[in-house]
Amino acid sequence: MLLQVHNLRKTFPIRGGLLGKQTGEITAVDDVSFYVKKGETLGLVGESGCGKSTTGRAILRLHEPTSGQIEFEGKSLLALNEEEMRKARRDLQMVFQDPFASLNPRQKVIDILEEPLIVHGMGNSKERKEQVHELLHLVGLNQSHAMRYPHQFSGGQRQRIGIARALSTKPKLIVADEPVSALDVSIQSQVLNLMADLQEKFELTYLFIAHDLSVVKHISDRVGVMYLGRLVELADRDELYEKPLHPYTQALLSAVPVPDPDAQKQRIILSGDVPSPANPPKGCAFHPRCPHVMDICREVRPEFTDQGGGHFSACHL
Amino acid sequence: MTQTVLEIAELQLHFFTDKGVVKAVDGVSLEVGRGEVVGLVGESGCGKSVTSLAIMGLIPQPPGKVVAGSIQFEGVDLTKISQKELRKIRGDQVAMIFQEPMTSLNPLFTIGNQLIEVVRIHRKVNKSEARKQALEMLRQVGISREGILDDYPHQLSGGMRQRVMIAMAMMLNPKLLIADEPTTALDVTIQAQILDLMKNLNKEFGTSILFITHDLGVVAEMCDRIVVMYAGQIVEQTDRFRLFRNPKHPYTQGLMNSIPKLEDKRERLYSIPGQVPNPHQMPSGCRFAPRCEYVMDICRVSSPELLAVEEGHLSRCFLHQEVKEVATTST
Repeated sequence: MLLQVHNLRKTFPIRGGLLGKQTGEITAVDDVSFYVKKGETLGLVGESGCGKSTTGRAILRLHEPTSGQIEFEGKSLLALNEEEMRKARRDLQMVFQDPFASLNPRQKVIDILEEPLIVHGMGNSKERKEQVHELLHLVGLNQSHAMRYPHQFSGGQRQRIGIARALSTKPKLIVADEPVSALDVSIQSQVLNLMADLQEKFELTYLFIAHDLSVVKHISDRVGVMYLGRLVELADRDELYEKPLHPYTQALLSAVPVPDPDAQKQRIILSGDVPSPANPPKGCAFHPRCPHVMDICREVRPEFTDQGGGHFSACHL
Repeated sequence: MTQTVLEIAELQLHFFTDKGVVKAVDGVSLEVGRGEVVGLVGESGCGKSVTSLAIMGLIPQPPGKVVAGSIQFEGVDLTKISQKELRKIRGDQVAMIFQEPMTSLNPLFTIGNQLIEVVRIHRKVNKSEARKQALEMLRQVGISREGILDDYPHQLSGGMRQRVMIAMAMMLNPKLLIADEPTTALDVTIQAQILDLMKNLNKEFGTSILFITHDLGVVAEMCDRIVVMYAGQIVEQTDRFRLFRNPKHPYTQGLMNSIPKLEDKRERLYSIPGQVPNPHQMPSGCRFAPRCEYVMDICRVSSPELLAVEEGHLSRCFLHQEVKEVATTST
């Protein structure tokens, strides 16, 4: 067990009025618990605003969790002070969605990749340079790219640089937040293959956050589905995609357009939109859109429990 | 196909930039029949959006210019008529919806204002009649709340805004609807709602749709016929069944193999090596040659034509063209 998250909660204040008084709060992540085993990829899917990115960031304490427990290799991350947390990030790195916004446009690639090594006091100047070249090579770029600026690269190449930066400190866990959603399909497959190769080579563990169900299925060993800040289902990849238990997961899977005109599909079209996280429905958050809603769903929040064989679901059905 | 609504012939659209001429659309020909849904697919920069903007006369000139070719809509060449005449057709007979519904609605006006304006510009009706029509159209796209007319765009969710955009585009019952990535910014469950809505409008009103997208899954569900573009040119064109069952062009094949599918088990994804060519330095010969795994000598020196591989299935590739022909052109 590399990472364990218990009852993670993250709320953001809503401020309004002239004096910026707090007028309410948004619960972005609401009582989320899961674990990630060493060497596996846990996929986290959900639609915009479901709290998947906030969960990823809260684990690295880029957003300070409001409550809950995060254990990495058995040690509590939330007990660390700022300095200790900075050191811990050597083992926990992040790859971001937007390869245009997440690289400093005024730094050369060599500086971008060398910086984490300097921060963590790894090697002398010569060793660091060598390591940067090795990193570039690992992600399919070459030494000549080191002296260029981010704008001189395409989106796919920039994402490779983002991955090289995350790898530079030899981390154990990489949180990848929508790493391929800004890329075209032909480039997307190159980056997904690269991530799979690197995982094998360095025994990396990934928390892979994305909204694209096909991409998540491709790369993950286990998959968790989030809705309105809550985990509604989590299971082994094949189990989840073949036998989804939660009505939201079922609707989500049926909504994915399939690139095959011969496929016969029974589509569950949900009515309405996702409710506002500032004012979530009582009971089960999904009940206003659920085709199987019962009386109990409007009153009591379902527990997220193991339905057998590590297949977790939060549903009264 | 009974009648053609839109016919683009040999369209050449160039951008004249400081670094040289970019041939964003290079000899594109395509037709959209009455009631037909045609998909235009390709990756960023392939020219699919520029083609659609050219139909609407929305390419800024300069730097853009239609250098050759024609865009016939119901027998009128849209590239030849004045801005004033074009404005009459646009919004009335040809309407367009865009990817980002927030940026394509005016944030300072209410939904009602914007819908009523469309009717009042093109039709001689009074305000209350226009308001009635607006409400009716909103009901058609699944919004039945009357108060919506007084809402501002920011008060609506992404899916609702896109419904409003579709209502606005459909207000005057256009013959052709151009939809440029209409669901790309939406979540999948909302995307399913919008695609369902567009299919119903197509059936009910017989509106032809030119559907521009990069998502092959969406195309497979929505479109009757599909046009695949690469680097400013059409590389393949046929009906959806043949395109997905039997793609001919190596680029189309590569594209299909690179998407992870829900049904597959985990294995390595196919990936097309390299990247899309720089528009300032197009490869000589076939534009896909540097990335193609079947590349032959001839591909690097001469450009293949878009020719029929069989009735109704066009491909721009030497692989399917007569060996004899290849032999004569290469010697």
